[in-house]
Order: sequence, then C-alpha cells, then structure tokens
Amino acid sequence: MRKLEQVALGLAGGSATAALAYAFLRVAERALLPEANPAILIGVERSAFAFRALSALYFGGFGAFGFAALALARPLVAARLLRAAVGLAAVALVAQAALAP
Amino acid sequence: MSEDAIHLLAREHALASWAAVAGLLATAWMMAARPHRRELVLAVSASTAVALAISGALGSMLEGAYRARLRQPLFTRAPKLGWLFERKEHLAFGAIALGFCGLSSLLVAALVASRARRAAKEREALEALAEELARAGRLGWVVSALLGVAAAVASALVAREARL
Repeated sequence: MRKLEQVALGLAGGSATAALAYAFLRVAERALLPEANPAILIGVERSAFAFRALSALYFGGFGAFGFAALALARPLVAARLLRAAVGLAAVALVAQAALAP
Repeated sequence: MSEDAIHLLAREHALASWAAVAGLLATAWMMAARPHRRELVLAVSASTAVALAISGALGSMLEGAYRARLRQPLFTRAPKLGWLFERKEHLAFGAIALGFCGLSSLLVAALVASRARRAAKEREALEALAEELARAGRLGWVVSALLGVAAAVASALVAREARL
C-alpha cells in the first residue's frame, strides 16, 4: 500500500474510532459521573460536550495509527475492519443517543 | 459574544447544517445510483465534508451560549426537547466523524482503483480492496446522512420552542 493510501485509511479508521469512543465516553460519563438535573443547574463553566469530543478525537488518534499500521501489513483486513468499525460506531451512537443521551 | 453575533451564528449554523444534510443525502444517493462514477462521487463527498466541518465549527462556537442561556430554561420548560437537543449533539458528532470516515475511505478506494487500472498483475487483489473500502465509505456516508437528518430535525423541533 502506498503512503498516501495508508494515511487516508488511517484517517478513515481514526474517524470511525472517534465516533465509537464518543459513544462509550458518554455512557461512562452517565454511569460514573452523573450530573445534576439540567433543569435546576443554572450554568456550568466547563463544556462537557467539548471535553467529550476532544477525548473522542484523542482516542481516534490511537485508532488512526492502528489502522495505518494494519493497512501496511494487511490492507484487505484493515478495509474489512474499517467497515465493521463503521457499523459498530453507528449502532453504538444510536443506542447511546436513545438510552443514555 | 454580543446578542447580534449569537443570532447571526445561530442562523449561519442552521443554514450550514441543512446544506450539509442536503450534501449527505446527495452523496448517499450518488453512491447508490452512480457507484461507477468514482471521481464525481469523491468530489461531491469532499464538498459535503467541507459543509459538515463548517456546520460543526459553527455549532461548537454556539455551544457556550447554549449552555449559558438556553439549556436550563429549555429543560425547565420542556425537558423532552432538552433531552432531544442533547441527543442532537451526539448524533451530529457521529454524522461529522462518520462523514469524514466515508470521505477518507472513498479517497483510498479511488487511489487504489487508479493503481489497479495501471497494475494489471495485481488487479484482482486491488479491486477487491477498492470494493471493500468503497463499501466502508458507502456505509459511513449512509449512516452519516441518517444521523445528520435526525440531528437537523431534532434541532428544528427544539428551535420551534426556544432559540438563541
């Protein structure tokens, strides 16, 4: 696999990993760090959404390097794993949005 | 940020978001109806990704104002709409992430397909790889389109009740 192809596949894998990580992070946040009822919370300095999004992108970075490395060794396996990651991320996000918004 | 700036940003965010949704639906349709037009699909995907990025950036800029001015009153008046907006944020992140995943996958598919045309010897293996990557790209875009539509509809429903 050529360098540009490897980088692009890494970016694709990283994006899917970030989406998956976001869902898990939100579920973990709801389970371990429950926030007060938003109806009585006047204002919050820290943006939980921004923190969660940046954390998801950070974990996406791990996924990007992993997919790029796998693309070099086994490109077809990396492509199949990418499709599985996209499907898993879709299911996880929809389930998380429905059950743990 | 001034009131006028917030109102302007909110309008621009709504416009950019619906433009991104139109692009997502166009990309998903093109992949289903014209899968052999790889370069055209890639061009439409790239334009949609730009719209997604702009929409996401504007949304991020508005998040502070939403948290400070709108969140608590919204949850007090209409908790269901408040939770719908929380869901919208999650779906929007997913739509953007999987949209860029789809774009990157299609780019690799186009590069690999281009290489497959030149290298007759490795043709079969590379075409299988290109098809696999294109499948991943199509799935990413379809999911992104669905999430984007859901987020945009949720936003519109909330905007009927409260807006910045």
